[in-house]
Amino acid sequence: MGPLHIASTVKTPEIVFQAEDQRLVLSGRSIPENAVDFYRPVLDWAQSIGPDFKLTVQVQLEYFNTSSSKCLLDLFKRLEQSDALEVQWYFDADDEDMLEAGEDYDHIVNVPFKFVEIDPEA
Amino acid sequence: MGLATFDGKPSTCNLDTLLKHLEEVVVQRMEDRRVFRAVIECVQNLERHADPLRTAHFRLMGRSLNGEPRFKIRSLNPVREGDVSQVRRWIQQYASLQELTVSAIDDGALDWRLLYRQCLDSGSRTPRGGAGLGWVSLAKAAVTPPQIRIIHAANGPKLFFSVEVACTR
Repeated sequence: MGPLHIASTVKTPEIVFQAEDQRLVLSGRSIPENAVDFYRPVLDWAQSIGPDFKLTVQVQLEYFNTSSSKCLLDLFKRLEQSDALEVQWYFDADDEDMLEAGEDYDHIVNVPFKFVEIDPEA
Repeated sequence: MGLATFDGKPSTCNLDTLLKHLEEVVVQRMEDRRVFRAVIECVQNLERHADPLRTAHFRLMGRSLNGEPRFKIRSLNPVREGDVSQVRRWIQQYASLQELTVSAIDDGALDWRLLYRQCLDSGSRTPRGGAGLGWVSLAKAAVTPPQIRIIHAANGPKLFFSVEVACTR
């Protein structure tokens, strides 16, 4: 499993694979004009994951546009083949839309989702 | 009340500046992120679909209805010459979707989330968009179905888009 680190910008999230705890973390906002180009290296990286690889995908996004939403679905579908995968979907307690977005992915892909509520005041 | 106005070339630089300003305007007034999410989609639609060489127009208006804050987003942009037929096809596709949603709203039977999930998982895409997913996302957040139409102006076709978003369901 190769390293992966994409630095954040004002329109794109930080994406990093933390090898020590086998965690892929997406954080920030994902509103690139061309989401397909942006997510290509992540999808390529995900392609190399074997079915026995244990991985936690931590999604902690503030905003994402619709083209990013398709790419996130592509990512989850590529990782679906892994038997030991969990998605941790973070959402602010007052952000019902973000919770629903995670539930929509949970409904579509065959991957266990764990929803983690964040207290925005904390 | 007009909250923000843009009349200019829909370049990435101009629209990034506009989006930054809109975030300050919207988030300052309303913590509900739904409004800014709708704003992002509308501004990025301009970047994707507007003729980059001609002036596009964007308006964000706010009002209060029975104490509920509402925001109306409007854009008007010339359509690229080579995109006109594609946009017309898209509007036709949109029209059937709008008809579906309007009738479903009337029936009280629309399952927005099901429609959203179907569009998300459809696999169909266009070179510059998600084949209806953006529209369904906006419609999901909107008070009434978004309006979209081609206006036949003297100097060429223009795309009119309008959506009204409330901060609470």
